[in-house]
Amino acid sequence: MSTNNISRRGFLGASAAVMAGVAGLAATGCSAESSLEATDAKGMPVDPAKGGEWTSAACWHNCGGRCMNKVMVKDGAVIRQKTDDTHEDSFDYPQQRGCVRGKAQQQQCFGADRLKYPIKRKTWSPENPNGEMRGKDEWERISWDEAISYIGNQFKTIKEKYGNQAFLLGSYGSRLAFAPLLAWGGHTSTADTTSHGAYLLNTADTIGIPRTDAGVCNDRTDMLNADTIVFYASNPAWSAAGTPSYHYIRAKEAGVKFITVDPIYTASAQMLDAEWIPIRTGTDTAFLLGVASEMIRLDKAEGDIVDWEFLDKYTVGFDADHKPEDLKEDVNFADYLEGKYDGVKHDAEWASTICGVPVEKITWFAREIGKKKNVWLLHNFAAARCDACENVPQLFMTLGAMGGHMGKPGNCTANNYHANAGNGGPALVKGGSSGYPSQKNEIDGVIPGPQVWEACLTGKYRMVGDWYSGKGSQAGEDRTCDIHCIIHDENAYLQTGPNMKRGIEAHRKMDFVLAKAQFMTTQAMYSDIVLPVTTQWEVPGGLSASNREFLFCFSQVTEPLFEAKTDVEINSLIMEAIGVDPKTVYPISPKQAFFNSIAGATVIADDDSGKYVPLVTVTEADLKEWGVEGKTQTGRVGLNEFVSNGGYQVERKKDDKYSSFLGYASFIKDPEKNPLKTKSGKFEITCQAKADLFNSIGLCDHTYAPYPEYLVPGTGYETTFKDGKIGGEKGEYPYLLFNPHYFRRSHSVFDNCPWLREAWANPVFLNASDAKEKGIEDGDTVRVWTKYGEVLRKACCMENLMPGEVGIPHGSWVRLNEKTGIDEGGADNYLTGNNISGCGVTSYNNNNCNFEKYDGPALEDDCYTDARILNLG
Amino acid sequence: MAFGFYFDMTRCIGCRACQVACKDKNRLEVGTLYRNVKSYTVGTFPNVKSYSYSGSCNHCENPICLANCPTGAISKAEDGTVVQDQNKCIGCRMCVMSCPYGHPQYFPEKGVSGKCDGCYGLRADGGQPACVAGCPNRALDAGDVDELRKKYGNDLDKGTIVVLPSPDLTQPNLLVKTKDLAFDSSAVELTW
Repeated sequence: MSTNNISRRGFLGASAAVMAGVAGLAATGCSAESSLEATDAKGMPVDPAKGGEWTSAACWHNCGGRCMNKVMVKDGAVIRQKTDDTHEDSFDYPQQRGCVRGKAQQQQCFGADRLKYPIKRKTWSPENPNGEMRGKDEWERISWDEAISYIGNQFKTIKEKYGNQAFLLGSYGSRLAFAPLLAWGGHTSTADTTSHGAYLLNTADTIGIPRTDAGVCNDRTDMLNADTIVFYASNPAWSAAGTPSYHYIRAKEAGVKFITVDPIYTASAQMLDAEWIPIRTGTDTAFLLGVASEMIRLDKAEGDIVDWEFLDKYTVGFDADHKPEDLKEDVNFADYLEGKYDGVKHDAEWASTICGVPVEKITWFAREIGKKKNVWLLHNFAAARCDACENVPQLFMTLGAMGGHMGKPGNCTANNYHANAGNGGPALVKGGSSGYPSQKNEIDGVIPGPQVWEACLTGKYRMVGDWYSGKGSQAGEDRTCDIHCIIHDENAYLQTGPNMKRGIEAHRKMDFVLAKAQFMTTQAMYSDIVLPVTTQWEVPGGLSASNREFLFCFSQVTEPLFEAKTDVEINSLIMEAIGVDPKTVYPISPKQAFFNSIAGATVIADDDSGKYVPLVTVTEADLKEWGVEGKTQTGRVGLNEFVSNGGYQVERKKDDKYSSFLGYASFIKDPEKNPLKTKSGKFEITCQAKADLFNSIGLCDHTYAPYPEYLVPGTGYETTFKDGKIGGEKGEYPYLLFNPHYFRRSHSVFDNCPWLREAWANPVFLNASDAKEKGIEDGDTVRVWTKYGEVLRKACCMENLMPGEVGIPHGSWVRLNEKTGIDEGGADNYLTGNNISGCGVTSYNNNNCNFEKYDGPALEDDCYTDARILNLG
Repeated sequence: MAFGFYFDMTRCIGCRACQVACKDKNRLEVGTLYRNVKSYTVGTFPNVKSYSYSGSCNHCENPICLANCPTGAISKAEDGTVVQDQNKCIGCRMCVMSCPYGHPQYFPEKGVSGKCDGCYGLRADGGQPACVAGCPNRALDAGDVDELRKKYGNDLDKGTIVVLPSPDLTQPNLLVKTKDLAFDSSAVELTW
C-alpha cells in the first residue's frame, strides 16, 4: 500500500466492493508498473488494459476548460484515462484535449485520502463545542444516522435561538448555495469579487462593457486576421487550459505577433514567443494612463495612432467636445491626462515611475496598439484583483476605443477567460435545463469577502453588493449579524477567500461548523462534522458547457465510494432531519434531471436562421431504457450515441458562417439603433454613473471622478516604501505580493493529487536578483510574511519575474504548524488580510510582504508529505 | 526501421500533461518518471526567454542500456523500439547507471528496472503513445523516424540542444523542432 500515490489495493478493493453486486467480476485490474509485466509469447509488450471499456468521465472544475476526459474501466477498476480521440484532429476541428490536471482526475476520485465515512471532531459536543480545538483535535468515525441527527439538532437549536441569519455560507457568491437552509428560511451569505475583481462593478450599466467583459471576443478564427494579440495580465496556457492554447499556436504559426504585459514572462509568452512588458502588480492604472497619453502624443507627432472617428462615433467623455449629457462637472479624460485637475501630467514618464515599465517600452506599446494595426486586446482579471484597481476596466476599454479595436475583423477588446478564451460568440451547442426548481434566500444579508471573518467576530459589516448571485454592486449599507454556525457546502471559502488566519479564529468561535468534503480539505480541518460527499464520477451523469462549439456529457464511472453520498442524498437527509420535504427541492430523480438536460439540449440550425434545434433524438425505447419521463423527439444524434461519445462538438471550418462573429458588431454597425446599456448608449470614457456608483459604496473617503483617474492604493507599490513615497527608503514590507494561478490546481481542487504534486512543486516565485541579495538559492526554504500571516515555501529563483515581486501560487492547502504559527503549505490566503479596496474589491495581487531564507528545518517536497489519510476503522 | 519521438519545442509550454499521461498509462508512483519535462530560461531580466523540454527514452540506435544489460532483458523490437522484458530483469541497475539520458528507472520495492516502451502495446493496436495522444498542444509525435522527418521536415535537431548529452554517445532517435535559444549554454532551469 502506497501512501503517496493512488492507494492501489485500496482503490481496487473499494471498486471491487462497489461492484460486488455485479456477479463474476474480480478485482484483478492493473496495479502500478504492471504494464511492464504484460508481454506476449515473444516477450513483446502488450497493452495490459486491452478489453477495458471507456466511459466519459467528468472534469467539472472551475478551471473553466470542461474538456473531454475518459476513463477505462476493467474488471471493476479504473485503470487508465485518456482525452478526446473521437475524431481526426485539426486546427479547424480540434479534439477537445484536456490538461495535466484532468489526467490525474482518478487520484481525486480514487485517492487513498478519500474521506470514507462521516467523522466528528472528538471534543465537540452539542453542549460544549470546544471551539478552540478546531484544526487541532482528533477525529472519530460516526454513522450517517448519528451525523444527520447531530446536524438536525444543531440547526434547530441555532435557528430557534438566533434565527436563520446565524447560519453563514462562504463562497464567492453564496446567496443560493445551500439547498436545505434555503428551503428552511435562508442563511447569511458572502460575496467576494474573487476572480473578476473590478470587472464586477456593474460595468455594463456604467462604462458600457459587459459584466466581466465576457462575450465580446471575436470568434477564434478571426485571430488570424489580427496583426497583434495582446495578453494583458493573461496566461491562458495555465489559466485557460484546453483548446485555447491550440488556437493561439495556430495564430502564431500563421504569423500573428504576441505581446504580454505581465510581472511574469509566462508559459503563454514562451509558447507564443511574445514580446514581454514586465510590470509591477497593481500599477496597471498608471501604465494604461501612460499608454493613453503616449498614444495622443504619438498621434500628434506621427499621426494615425488614435482612431478619432471611433472615439467620436462610439464613445463619450474622451475630450471636452464629447461631454456626456448627464455629467455633473465639466471634466474629461484628455484634460485629466494633461494634468488640468490635479496639476500632474499623467504621461509615460509619470507612469514609468509607478509601474516600472521603461518609457520607451510604453511608447513602443502605444504604437503597437495604434489604429493602423489590427489588434486583439485581451485581458484576464489579475490586474482587476488589486487594491485601487477600480478604474482598470474603464481604462482598458478606453485604450481599445482609442485604437478602434472593436467590432471589426482582426480587432477586439475583451477578456481571455476559461474555455471562451480567444473564442467568443454565442454557444453553438447548449445543454438543457435539469428541471430542478430554483430556490430563494429569505435572508438578504451579504457580507463582502474581506469582511466575512471579521463579521463573525465583531457582528458588523458593510453590504456593498452581491456580484455573482445577485445584481452586482449596490450603495453601501451598514449591517449587523450574529453568526453561530458556518457551513461549507460545495465551496472552499476558508481556503480561497482572503484573511484565512482570522477565518480560523472565526471558525473557533462558532457553536457548530459543518463541511461536506472528499478529503481533509482546509474547510474539513476546521469543522466539527465532516460528511463524505461523492465526486462527479459517482453521480448518474451530467453535461458541462465548454467552449462555444463543444458540449461535454459525462457518465457515471463508479458507485459512490465507501460511505460517500451525493449532494442530493445528503441534502435530502438534512431536510428530513429539520422537517422539510426533500421533494420540494428535488421533485425529480437525479437521473431524470440528467435526462432532462440532455433532452433539452439544442444545437444551432444548419440553415442561416440562427435558430436552435433539438440536439438529441429520443425514442420510446430510450425512455424505457432510462426509466424516465419525457417525450420522443428527433435531433442530430441518438441519445445513447451522445452519451457514449461524451457529448457533441460542432464541426468548424475556417471561414464558416460562425467565423463572422465579432464582439459589439451590431453596436458598431449602427450605434443609434443598437445602443449599449449606458446612459449615453455609448462607451463612457468619462462616466457619471460610474462615479455615482463608486461614491455610493462608502468604504473609503476618496471621491471618485467620472474619468478613470489614478488611485493611490491603501496597500500597493507605494506602501512598499517607508513613507509611502516612491523612490524613498523601503519599508517593513518592501515587496509586492501576488497570487498567480497555478497549474497544479484548479483553485484549491487537485492540490492533494500526488502526480500533480510531483509535476508541479508549488514554490514561491522570487526574482533571481532579489533572492541572491538575501543569499537564497533555488530550492532553499523561504519564509514569506505579511502583517497578517507567514508561510514557508521552497524558492524558485526566476529571471522571468519582475524584481520586487513575490508570487505565492494561488490555492495551496494550508498546513498550519500550531507551534510556530507558520503555514507550511504555502496558502496564498494565509498572507492576505481584510484589506478591502474602495469599492469592495478584494485585493489579491498587490499586497505587501517580506521574505528571508528560513533558518528552521527545510521543507520536504509537497509530493512526499501531508498525505491526509484518515483511518478510523 | 527506427522508432523515435518528435518534440516541437516551439509549441511546448512545459505543462507536464505528457508526464502525467505516461504515469497513468504505466501506473507509476511518485518518484518514478518515464517522461520528464523541464523548463529553462535564457538571459537575465528583462531580456529573458524560455523553453521547455519533454524527454523520455530515445530508443537509441546504439542503446547503451541494451549493451550493458547482462541478462538480455533489453532488446530492440522489429520497429526499433527499445523494449525490456521485466521478467528477465535482475535489478542490477546497469541500464539505469549507463543511460546518458538517465532514462531507465529502478523500482526498489520490486527489485527491477523499467523503461518507456513507446507504448508498444498501444501502437500495436493502432493507437498512439499516451504522451503523444495526451499533449494538449500537439507538441509530441512518435513513429518511424524517416516518416517523422517526412512529416515535419529535415531541419530538425537530433538531440544536440544544450540540455541533452551529446547524441554521439548513443545516437538517439529523437527529432526536435527547436527554438534558437535551445543552443544557448547559459540556460538555467526554471523550477516553478
